[in-house]
Amino acid sequence: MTPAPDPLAHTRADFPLLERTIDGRPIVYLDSASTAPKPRCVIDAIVGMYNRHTANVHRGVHVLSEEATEAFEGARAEVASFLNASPGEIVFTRNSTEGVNLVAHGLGFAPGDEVVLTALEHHSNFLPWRMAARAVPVGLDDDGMPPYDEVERLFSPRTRLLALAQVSNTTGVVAPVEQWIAAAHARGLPVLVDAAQSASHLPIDVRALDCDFLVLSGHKVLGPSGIGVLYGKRERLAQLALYQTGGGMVRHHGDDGFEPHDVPQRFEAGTPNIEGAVGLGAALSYLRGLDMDAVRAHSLALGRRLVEGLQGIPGVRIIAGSAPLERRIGLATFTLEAAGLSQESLARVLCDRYQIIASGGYHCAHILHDRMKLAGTVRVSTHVFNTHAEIDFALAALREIAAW
Amino acid sequence: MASDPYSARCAAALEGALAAVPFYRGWRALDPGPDRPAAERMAALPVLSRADLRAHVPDGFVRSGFSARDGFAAGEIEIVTTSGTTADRASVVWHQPWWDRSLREAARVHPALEAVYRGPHREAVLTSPMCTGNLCHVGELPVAERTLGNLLFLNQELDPARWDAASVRRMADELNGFQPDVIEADPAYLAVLARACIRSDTPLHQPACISLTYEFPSHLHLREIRRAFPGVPVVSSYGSTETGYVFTECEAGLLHQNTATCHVDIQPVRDSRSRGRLGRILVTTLGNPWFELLRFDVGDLARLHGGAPCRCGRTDGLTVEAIEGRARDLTFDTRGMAVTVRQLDDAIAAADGLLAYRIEQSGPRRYAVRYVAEDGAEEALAAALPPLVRDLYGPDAEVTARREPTLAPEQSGKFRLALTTFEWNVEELFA
Ligand SMILES: Cc1ncc(COP(=O)(O)O)c(C=O)c1O
Ligand SMILES: [Zn+2]
Repeated sequence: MTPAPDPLAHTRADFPLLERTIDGRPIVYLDSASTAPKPRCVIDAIVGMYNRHTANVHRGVHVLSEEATEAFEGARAEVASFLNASPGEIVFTRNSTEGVNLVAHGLGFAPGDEVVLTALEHHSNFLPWRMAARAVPVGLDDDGMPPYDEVERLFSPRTRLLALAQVSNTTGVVAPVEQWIAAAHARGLPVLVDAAQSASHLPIDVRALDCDFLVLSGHKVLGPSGIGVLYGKRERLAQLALYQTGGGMVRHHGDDGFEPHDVPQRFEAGTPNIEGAVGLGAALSYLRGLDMDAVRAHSLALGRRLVEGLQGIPGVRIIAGSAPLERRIGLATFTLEAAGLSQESLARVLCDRYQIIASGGYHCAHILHDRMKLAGTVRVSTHVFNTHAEIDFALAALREIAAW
Repeated sequence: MASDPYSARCAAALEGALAAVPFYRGWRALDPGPDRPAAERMAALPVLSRADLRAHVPDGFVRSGFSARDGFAAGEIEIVTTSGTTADRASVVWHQPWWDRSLREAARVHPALEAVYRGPHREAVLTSPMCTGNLCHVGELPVAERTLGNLLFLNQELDPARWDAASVRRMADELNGFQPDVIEADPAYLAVLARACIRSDTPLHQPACISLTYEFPSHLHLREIRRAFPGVPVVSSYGSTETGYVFTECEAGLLHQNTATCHVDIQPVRDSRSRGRLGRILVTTLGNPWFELLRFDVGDLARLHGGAPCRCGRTDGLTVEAIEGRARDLTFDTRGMAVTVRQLDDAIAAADGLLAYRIEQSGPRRYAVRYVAEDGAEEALAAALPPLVRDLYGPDAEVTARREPTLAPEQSGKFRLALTTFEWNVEELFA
């Protein structure tokens, strides 16, 4: 194959985890769709908070509290810039899952209300809707792709919202979010975009998208675990019922009742994950520093290399393998027909023999695996620091295993 | 070298592996040659590690002339991966007929086991649900899905501390319904079941024999098991996914090597670090062309039996006094001598009211015991344990004891009885 440029290869030095070895050999980290390694600037930002600025936010009048509040709100501003939102539209959550739950709970669905989504959605963007309303999924074709175009056929008078992953964590395909948003808005329906995967691979502009809600997880965008983001248009957020009550979310509490703060603070009851938010701010600032257009180009290039390579290996079946290459990020889920190996064992062998860190299992998408009658799959996923050489190494490993 | 059939088979295994198994190509030059005694030839070779298995399974260990590809296609072999952290992980080429043979042959050491395994029999397995190859029994599977031919897999919980009255009842009922001839159990798990059944007056099916394997059997475990299965022979079996069954306890209480499917070397721990015939178990497999292991370091220690031959009359293969636990579970006394899990267990497991324990050594003289106490025994144990620990590790040992509601197993499902929190290199003990 032709040597391909890796314009982001310089970032490798920023990730201490990439120096990790197993059995004396360096790891090849291809599991960022599960969770991503953290660059040193994120680690330093978190440690810096612990070392120098430990204090509660929004509460004290002393210097340390003001420093902590400034860092925390600075992180909110950083998140807002990353999404082209305003800080008042950014709610800190624990993760994407909590963001979806907050909205599903807050919209106050009535029995029989419907949410339209795809059968491919991650459990986190499926079960909360299923709990709060009736989930109406567009189906899946034989290749594992949802017929996105059929969305309007599923609208009914009971439809209340559309929920859609901008990039699926199993197919790695970029969904036509704009088309869904236009269709929904034509009927006055809100749309929640699950950006858990896409935020690491595509520039996101919530104003241009015009989505009503959007969720993401810190740990996948190079930030720490336990912090996530719910973006909502201000008026949409204001309509949501209170999620949790307690300290920090209330302006005044007296004998006759209480008055909650405005959004976003009204949804942040209790002491927030201050260090997590600051780490997330550092992570998004780092990503923006790389230029999200360059990040997208690199992800697409790696995805192309990966999928084209997999297609050449006998016994490989790629989920959504027929989707156009220009709509894929650096992620592929597949099965490899290898004698004597289950898909989960295959992922173990990749780790044990080749030090390749990849996912094996169901990737929180049981419905997809059931429909395609797959007893598990293997998923390889990239981030900014991955190189074409690493993809080639993984492909060579798979070719070797296929030939056993 | 080939003076008797067993030696001849060992020599053939050694020469065959060096000549025709890809992984050992690099070892050939180290072999002093066929005119040297077998033991000397073996000792001249390196030790095979799990890291080697991880890097070279499957093709590295298949005898030339056998194709892994054809073997897979014909269903002769499959790859079994074990999970856990580095020390436990391996990929193994699994050849069922060889495994069955190793089980059968090893069973011949003990009359009660032999009687069971000689013919058709039913076997119940009680261990971590993760431990059985590619099979996973975590969750709520109906009994039919946990029954594979003559095997019943009882447990579905990662930690037996989570068994409630209903799951204990379920397992007892399943045993009573299935009527196994043998229970093959992880002693830690069977001890919990035994105790729960005694306390709740739940009748337990009495098999012809109990085989304890998977991990080190503590006196604590044996005590509970013997109480719930009075008169049932309880036999220690030692083996691993990689090596098949290696040692079996005889009716006289020593363990004999299975000479049909393996050869064993005990590589001694340096005299300056331990006393008395202690070494690590290195297994050479015999008669399995799909997965030829030479001097595979299972990670466990054994103490060779010294002195007169065993009362049972067996003289073939090695006789060991005991399996002493994992090498990575060694702790060190205040003079730096290695203390095995068995030595530790002999020293403290007899304490009244003790249900479980774990020793954590955090420095050359610092030891912390965590323990689970029977109701009412808390205070007595708090007083009794530190002196027992000091007797073992040295009068200058600094000992703390902390009571715990339960002690959880590791990721692999095994209960670690001892560990050090500082890094040390196992290889130093053998240099
Ligand atoms: C598309 C998608 N949505 C939601 C989630 C849930 O993210 P979290 O577990 O961080 O809440 C994931 C995580 O894998 C995901 O890939
Ligand atoms: Zn004997």
